[in-house]
Amino acid sequence: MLDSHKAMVTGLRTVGKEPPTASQGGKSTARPMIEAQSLRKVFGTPRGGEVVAVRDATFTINPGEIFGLLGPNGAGKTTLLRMLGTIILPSSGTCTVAGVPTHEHPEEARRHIGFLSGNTRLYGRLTGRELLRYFGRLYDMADDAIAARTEELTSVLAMGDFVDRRCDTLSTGQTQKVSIARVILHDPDVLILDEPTLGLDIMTSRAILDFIKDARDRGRSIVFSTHYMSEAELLCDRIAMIHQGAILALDTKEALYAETGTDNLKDAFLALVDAAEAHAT
Amino acid sequence: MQLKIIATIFRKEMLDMLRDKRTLVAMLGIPIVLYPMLFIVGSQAFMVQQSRVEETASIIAIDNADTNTVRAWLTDVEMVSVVSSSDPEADLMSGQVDAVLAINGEVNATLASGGTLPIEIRYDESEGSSREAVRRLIEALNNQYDVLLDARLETVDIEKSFVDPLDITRKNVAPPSKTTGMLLGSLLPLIMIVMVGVGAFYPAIDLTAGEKERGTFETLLSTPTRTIEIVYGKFLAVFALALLTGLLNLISMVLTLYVQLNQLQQQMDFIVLRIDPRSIVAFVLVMIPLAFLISAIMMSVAVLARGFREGQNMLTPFLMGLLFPAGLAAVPDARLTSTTQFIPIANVALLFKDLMTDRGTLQDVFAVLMSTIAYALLALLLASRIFQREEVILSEERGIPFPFRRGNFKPQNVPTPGMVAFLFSICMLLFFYGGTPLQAALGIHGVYLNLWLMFLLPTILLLVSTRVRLTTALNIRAPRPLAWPAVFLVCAGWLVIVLQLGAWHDSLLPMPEMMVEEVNKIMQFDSISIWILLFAIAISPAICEEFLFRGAILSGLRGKMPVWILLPLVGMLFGAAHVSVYKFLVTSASGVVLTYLVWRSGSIFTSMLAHAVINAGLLLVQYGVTDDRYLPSEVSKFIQDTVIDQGQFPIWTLGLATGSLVAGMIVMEITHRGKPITYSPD
Repeated sequence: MLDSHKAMVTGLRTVGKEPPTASQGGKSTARPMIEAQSLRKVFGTPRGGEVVAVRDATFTINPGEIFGLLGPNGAGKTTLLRMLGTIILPSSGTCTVAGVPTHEHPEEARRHIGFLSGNTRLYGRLTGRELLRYFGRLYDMADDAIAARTEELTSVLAMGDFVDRRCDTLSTGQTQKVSIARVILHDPDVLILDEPTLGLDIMTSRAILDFIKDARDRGRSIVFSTHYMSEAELLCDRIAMIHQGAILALDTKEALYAETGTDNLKDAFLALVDAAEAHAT
Repeated sequence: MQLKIIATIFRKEMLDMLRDKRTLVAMLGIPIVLYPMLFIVGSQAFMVQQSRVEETASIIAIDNADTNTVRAWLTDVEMVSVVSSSDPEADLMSGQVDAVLAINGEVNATLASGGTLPIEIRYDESEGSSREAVRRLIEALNNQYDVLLDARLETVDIEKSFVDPLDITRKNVAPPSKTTGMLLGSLLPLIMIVMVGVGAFYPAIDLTAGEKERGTFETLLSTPTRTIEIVYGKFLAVFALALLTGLLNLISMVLTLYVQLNQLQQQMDFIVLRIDPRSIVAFVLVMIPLAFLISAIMMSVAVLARGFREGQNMLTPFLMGLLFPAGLAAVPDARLTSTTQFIPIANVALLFKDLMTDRGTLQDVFAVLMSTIAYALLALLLASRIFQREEVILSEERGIPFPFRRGNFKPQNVPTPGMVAFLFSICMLLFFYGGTPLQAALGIHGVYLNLWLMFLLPTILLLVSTRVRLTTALNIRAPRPLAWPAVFLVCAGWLVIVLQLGAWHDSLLPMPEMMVEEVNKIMQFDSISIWILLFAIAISPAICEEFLFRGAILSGLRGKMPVWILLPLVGMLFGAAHVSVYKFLVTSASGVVLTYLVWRSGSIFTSMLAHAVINAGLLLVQYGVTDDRYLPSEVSKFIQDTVIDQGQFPIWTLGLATGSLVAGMIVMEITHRGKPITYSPD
């Protein structure tokens, strides 16, 4: 596991495009990769009422930045990420990904996105190779390009032993590797990762986190949601704290500590929630 | 929409499903294993049972004090053995005897006095040996009857014919193949329809609710595919598997029946299996839209489920529900009529029954095919609509499939292809259901009311309710001035050509007398004013059909396909709307010409004028050949002598007509050269 994990991290550095800009800590001057403006999502309830899942979320994410979404279960993280990934449409507001307006050209926007979440699973009756071929074709890649890219990813993610096995026979770690291969198969500019370490063992989690850092180093923009504060502290260049659909604060972790007078994200989050509830009452 | 993406999704889903054991069992297991097993085991058991019954003597008890006389009657009868019984009824119920002869009264005294001896044969219908005993007893008693009757007649010196004034026999004129066809026609469609449902059942759930449950839907939605491509790709897989299951069942059943019934035929000459290959072809043809319809409905329902188990719960009632319309074929005397041919699924069952008994006509096949296609299109549109609802696809809550609000639609210049398919299907179904009763009740008035109510009204309602601009969607704009002479040249040429096409078509595929009489009953040239006829036959179609076909349908499909597909497609939809296989080709050809006029000129008025002129021309030709007031006598005589009597215009007439048509098209092309008339979608 450790060897394959090392191979995966090391190997990823040889995969994909060169970074468009080498930026760190969200301080790039390049054009933002994601621009969300007043994104709002309202769901209807079975009894005819309405639930606001996300309230007027506005932010930008730069190339080479890990942007964390931090919040408890039900805070609206998944809905927000699904809107960024154009899996669902916003009720109002606009968003661009790599300069493509998602509400006008969602299919084009998705070509720039790799989307992975606890909900994005694999087809159990297909082998890893068949699955990558299928998704490559959906991304309009030529068959020989898919084959070459599959070989490359099989090598760097150390999937040789199981890439031709049916996905329903794979272990959790192997499944996650095939998932990652699927996400980066088309070499996207933006990675949207919704709680990617949820339910994984410590070794697989570490592999995922290293993969995220590596992608950042290669200039990709990563939007990353978690409710593990330690992961956010370790990875994120900027963090949006989200509660009941609203972004309570958005900044670097140091700035968030300073703003809330705390020294860790957990306390900072609780302080922001308390302040928001006090303000509401 | 990219066909390549749809094909990719289709291929993947087929591969996925063909690796699923449940699908394979439903698709291959039942036809390949179950039918042969059922038939072989069933027929073997039947034959064994039959031979056992035939080889075993029937045990008879007599329920009468004086058993000797009756026992004597049966002494020499083969395979009948009379036993004594203290309680014959109880012995019959317990199976110790096969039948009881219950005789009420003194046997010898009654017969000697010339009276009638009442005899009752008691038996157990549920037992084969008891039924066989009855058969043997009746045969023996009939023989005894003849002996007794002859003896009585001899004493009074009367010929037997005196007491037998009528010699009644019955003869079944149906060939044995028809009798067998009737049996198979009742049984096969039921099994076929249910098996198509079984074929679609697991794939429909697995590719929708199953995918939701496994969490792979979100994976798919994160790719640059459009929802409509996902729907069509998945639908095609469900449809292909349903059709494949149906076909495999059909092949397996027919082969098994041939083998087994040929064996049975050696013993029972009333069983003759003869299926006309054309019937099989027709049934396969109708099975395609049937599988399409069932697959689309099942997908629409299954996608509402949150998981596989719930999908099964939701679809099982539908699968069971298929038994009712499919079982209609088993109802004695249930036939395909002008009403039942439009009842979904039941029409397919009844058509198959008619085909098996040599009663089905080409028109029946056509009507069932068209109505099933209309339902199938509606079902597919429903499935697409449900798939577009993100809360249905992603959330755990079941969604409402059709939240129709006008405000949900953006103002548009032309309808979408989906709206076009919906509109066409709705108009066709309204026409099917409303058309026949209206025409039957109101005659010629029903003809034009049909057009206004079933074609024009839904067209306007749909466009208005979906915020499509009427002027652009219906191509309401004035044509360029030179378009008018072009239209007249086209009309003059096409009127002659369409008469010739009609004559050729009639010689190849003549309309049955019954249908001609029905048309004549409605038209009644003698009693209806020509102005009403003109309004019903020329003006109303020119307005209503043109707004639907060359208005909404053409504008919705324009730009979505090459013109060489667009013109024939709109033409064929127009032909199909006439719901007659005998008119389809000629009306489709007219539809292509009319569509061309609007496609080139951008004006609905060109095709309206042409449609009115051509229909009025055809009407005047029909009137004119019998009434000199409507056509100059030279013209009517020329038409009568050529195309009506000989089925052929002279070559020079056809040449002139073709020249006129081509000249009109050239003028039209020159007039609109380099000025394409198009509207952007919004």
